[in-house]
Parts: sequence; structure tokens; C-alpha cells
Amino acid sequence: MTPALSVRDLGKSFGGLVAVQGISMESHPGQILSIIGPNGAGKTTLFNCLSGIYRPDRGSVSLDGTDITGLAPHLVARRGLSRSFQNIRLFPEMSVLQNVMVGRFSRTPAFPLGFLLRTPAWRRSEKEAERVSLDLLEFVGLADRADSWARELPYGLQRRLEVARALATEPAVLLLDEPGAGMNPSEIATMMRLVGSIRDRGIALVVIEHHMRLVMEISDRILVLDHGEPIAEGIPSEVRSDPRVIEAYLGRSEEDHV
Amino acid sequence: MTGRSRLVRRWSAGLAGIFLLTAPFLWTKVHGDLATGNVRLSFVPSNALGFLSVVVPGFAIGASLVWMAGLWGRLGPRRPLVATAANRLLERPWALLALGAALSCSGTLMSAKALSLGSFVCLYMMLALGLNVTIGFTGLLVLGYAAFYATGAYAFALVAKFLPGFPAWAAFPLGFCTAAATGFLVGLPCLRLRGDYLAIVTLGFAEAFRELVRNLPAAGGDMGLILPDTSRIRGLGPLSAAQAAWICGVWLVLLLSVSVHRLRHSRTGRAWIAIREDETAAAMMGIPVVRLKLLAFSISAGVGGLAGAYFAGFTGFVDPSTSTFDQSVLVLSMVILGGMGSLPGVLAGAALLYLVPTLLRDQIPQIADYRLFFFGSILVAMMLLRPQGLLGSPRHKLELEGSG
Repeated sequence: MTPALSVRDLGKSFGGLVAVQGISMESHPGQILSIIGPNGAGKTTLFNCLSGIYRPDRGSVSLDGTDITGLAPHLVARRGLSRSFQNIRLFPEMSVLQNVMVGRFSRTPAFPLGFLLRTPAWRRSEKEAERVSLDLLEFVGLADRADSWARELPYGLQRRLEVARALATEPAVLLLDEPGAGMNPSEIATMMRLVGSIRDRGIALVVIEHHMRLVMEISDRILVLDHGEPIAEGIPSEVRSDPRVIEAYLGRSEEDHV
Repeated sequence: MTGRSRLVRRWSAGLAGIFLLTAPFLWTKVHGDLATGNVRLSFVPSNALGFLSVVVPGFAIGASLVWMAGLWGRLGPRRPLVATAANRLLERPWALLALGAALSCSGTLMSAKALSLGSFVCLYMMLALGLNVTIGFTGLLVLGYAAFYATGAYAFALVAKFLPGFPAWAAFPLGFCTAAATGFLVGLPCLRLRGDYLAIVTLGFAEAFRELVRNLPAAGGDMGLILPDTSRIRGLGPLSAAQAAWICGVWLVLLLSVSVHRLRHSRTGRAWIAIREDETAAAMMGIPVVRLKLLAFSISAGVGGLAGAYFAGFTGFVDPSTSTFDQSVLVLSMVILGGMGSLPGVLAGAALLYLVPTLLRDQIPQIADYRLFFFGSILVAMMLLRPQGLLGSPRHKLELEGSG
């Protein structure tokens, strides 16, 4: 099976500072790959390289076998990779529904003059975009807030709206940057269920997360980064018992608990 | 109470400061010859009194207007009724046709002065609608918008000069296309960069354009160009030329309002707003940011050019003063006063900022000298007290999404 996302020997530095290097990974449809590591390990930099916000210095990124290394973000999105942001980046002065409809941009035809005359074809395409967006809001549990302002949503719901908006671009690969950050336990439980049902749709998920319980429960595989380099990769039980991981990351927190 | 008295104190302090800073220049007059060093300063109290007699009441009126607007923003209805009603109207083509017909008919009853005022209001409404596409929708600052207005006007005047009998109706698409193409070329290098480069580049372009036409013999230099009679907007049947210009302006404003409204409520419009709200997130949604910014700016410039062709068509002349910084700031103030991004808002802003100074000037001639002072004050005050503008509540965008 060809992986949905495959990364080979990826590297990125800023001046003399090496942010990530030597990263290789594969993500398969319907599976969850988690990326963990201490703060500053280069997880978000990795996401920025994958989504086209940064251009990697070395290595390659390919989606479904086609090379997307160094493409601009909108082209990466069009080829089927979408993401959420660690510090939520919604369109605050738009309604919840409109936020999701923006995600339909590359999946709806342009109609150079259809919008002026409001031709039947244009109307159908608008209705379709609206229907798909409402379905996605239903899917993430925000259907009743469709007409609210994005900025008026509580924090936990904003995270879910960001996921719905990313899904609207019809991604084959979805990158989630700390979907559970700043949430209370019940919100995290809801988010876990949501992540699980996105996986069940056959989307390849790559998730950065700090909540270890969440990571251990949902991940099919885990990649551990430290100082920008991969130090371990495997199924959750392997990673949990890997001495380097315990030393770099888990060990410290377990000692704290003892 | 304390908040309000603090506000009053701040305003009066500001006023006193401006007065003190300007007073030495206004109160005194330089006599003699600087070269020989025989210079004498004399005190001219009447200058200062004249300044005070205009600025104090003007400032008081402006401050109370802004204060009321601020109060309205805090306490008033969350959806301004005027804006909501106007947005509903834009969704109903038949109602707009009726409105256009009614305004056209009223042209036969209007005096020559009213027709001229009305035509200028239409002109500024077109300019405000056009500038709103870049500033209000896409969030890009343009400081030299008058350049595109002048581009359209000069394109028409030059074509009419070399092609006698070139009709006014054909000038509208000509003005639009010329200015849109110019806008595209000006925007191409700077829209690839992030930040307010467009503001600076358009500012420079407007100045360069003015110097260009001033020094180009074919463009008439400082004297400008006079359009041949055959190219002006002419009377038709029982209609006089002034009535024809008014009717033409009304229909152009209606056409542009509907077009811009429909553009806003389409996939393209949503992408513009998304770019304004968060450029990176918009790109991640598959939106080609640079291309859409260029599209917005070209359309904006094109509408400016159309307005320029209309101006040339009904006044019958163009000169380099169409491309001054004053003009750009005037249109910018209209958009900000009315409410960036709100169509009813920018239309109201255009009408207010054209009519109030013009009618006041007839009453108090000195006020013309302080025009820019008032525009500057309005811009600063609106930004501080009601950044969304008089009619620009973002909430009204919500209820009319979709084609209805």
C-alpha cells in the first residue's frame, strides 16, 4: 500500500539553528501517527515544512506518491493535505458556517461571471458548498452554532471548528497541531472521539499532542522527536518502553509523579 | 461619568494643543526681505479669530457626532437598521430597478445645482465602492487611489482627443479596463510581499502619475484636457445634459453596488475576507492569496477608472489635480467613516463627506482651508471610537449569506 504521506530525510535550519533534521516517516489512510517530544523539539516546524509554510532545506515530502516538497501552501492544500494550528487561526469576523465554506474554495468551480448573474449553475454550487459545510459542522457537533461568529465560540468549540474547516478541503492527510491543548478532560474526551471518527473516514492523521494518555490510546504509531531529530518510532507499547524516550521525555515526568 | 469627563478633557486638551501649535503661524505675518535680513514680524489677530471661528464650532460638531456614534456603538442596536435594510435591498433586483427609476424620474424635478451635487455624490459613491474592495474586503491599504480615478479620466480624454466622436457610454468599459490593467501592473510587484507595501507604492504611483500628465504635452500639461462636445454625456430627447449625467450616475452606482455585493457574497468574496482575517490560514484552505489580492486590487482600480471616465464625461475636462493626495485621502475617509467592508456604510460615507463640506463651504467660505484638518480628525476619531464605521457593524454580513 502506498502511504498517503511519505517524508524522507527532511531537514530545516534557521541560520545556524537546526530546527529539524533527518526526519523520515510514513502515514497511511485510516491510521493515526502521533508526533511527541519536549517543547522546542521541532514538531510545529515539521508541520510547517509539510504544509508549505516553510520550504525545507533537505529531503522530500510526497503525497500519494507525488512530490510536494517546497510547494506553496495553497497548492499543498489542493493536493490533499490540510492542517489545524497550535494557536487557533480561525477567521474571527466570519460566521462559523462561512469559516467552513472558505475551506471549500479549491473544491468549487470559479464561475467567472456566474456570480454576477446568479446563474442556476452558480446557485447550485453555492448550495452544494453550504450543504457540505453544514454536514461537516454536524460531524464535529457544531451544527447549532452555524450562524454564530467564529470569535464568539468558546475555546474548545473553536478547536473543533478548525478541524471542520480543515476537513472541508477534502484532505487525504490531516495534520492536527495539539488538538487537545488547553482543554478540560471532558473536552479532550470529545476531541478524542472526533479524531477517531476522522480516522474512520479513511483519512491519514498526523497528530502533535502532549496529553500522553490521549496519545497512547489513539495512536497507531508514534514518532518521538528530541532537539529536531527522531529518537524513536514504533507502536505505542514499544515507544513507551524505549529507554531513550524515557530519558528524553517520559522519564522526567514519571519521576515527577513518583 | 468619569470616562466621559476624561474624554471631554482629552478632546479639549487636543484642541488647545493644535491651537497653540498653529497660533504663532496664524497670528503673525512676516514683512520685509529675508535676503537683506530686514525682517519684521507683525501680529495679525484677525487670522487667529478666523481660524477659531471655523475650527471651534467645526470641532464641536465633529466631536459630538463622533461621540454619538460611539454611544450608538456601545448601546445601540447590534444590527444597525439602516445597514440591514440597505443590504436587503441589494438582494432584490426589482426593488433596485424601481429605486433607479424613481431617482431617474426625480432628476426632471431637480434644480441644476441639485443635479450637479447629485452627480458628484454618485461619482464619490463609485470611488468609495471601488476602494472598499481592497480596503474593506481584502484588508489592503491603498493610499493613492486617486491615481486610478485619474487613469480612467485621462484614458477617456486621450481617446476622445484622437478619436473624435468617441461616445461617453463606451468610455465606462474603457476607463474600467485601462485602470484595472494599470492596477494589475502596479500591484504585481508589491502584492507578492506581505505588509503595507501597496500603500506606499500606490502613494508614489499617484504622485508620479500626476507629474507625468503635467509634463506630457499630449495630456495637456497643467491645463489638462477639454473633451470635445461629442464625447461628453449629452442630453437625450427632453433630458438636459445635467439630467442625463445624474441618471447615468444613478444607474452606474446601482450597477456597481449590486456587482460588488454579489462579488462579496460569492466564493471570491469569502476568500477575500479570509485573507483579511488571516493570510496564512487562508492559504492553507487552498486560496491562492497573491492571485486573489491582485484580483481585488485590479477590480478596485477598475472601478476607480470607471468613476474617472464618468467624471470626465459629465464635467467635460480632466486636469492633473484629479490625482492628488487630497482626493485619495477624501475617498479613504469616506470608506472609513461609513464603515470598511459595509456597502451601505461606504455609500453613506461618500454622500456625507461630499455633501457636508460642500454645503458648508457655501455658508462659511473659510472652511475650505481646513478640509484636510477635518478629514484627518475624522479618521483618527473613528479609529479610536468606532473602528467599524458609522454603519459598519460586522454582524449585518451574517443574515444575508447565500443567494436568497
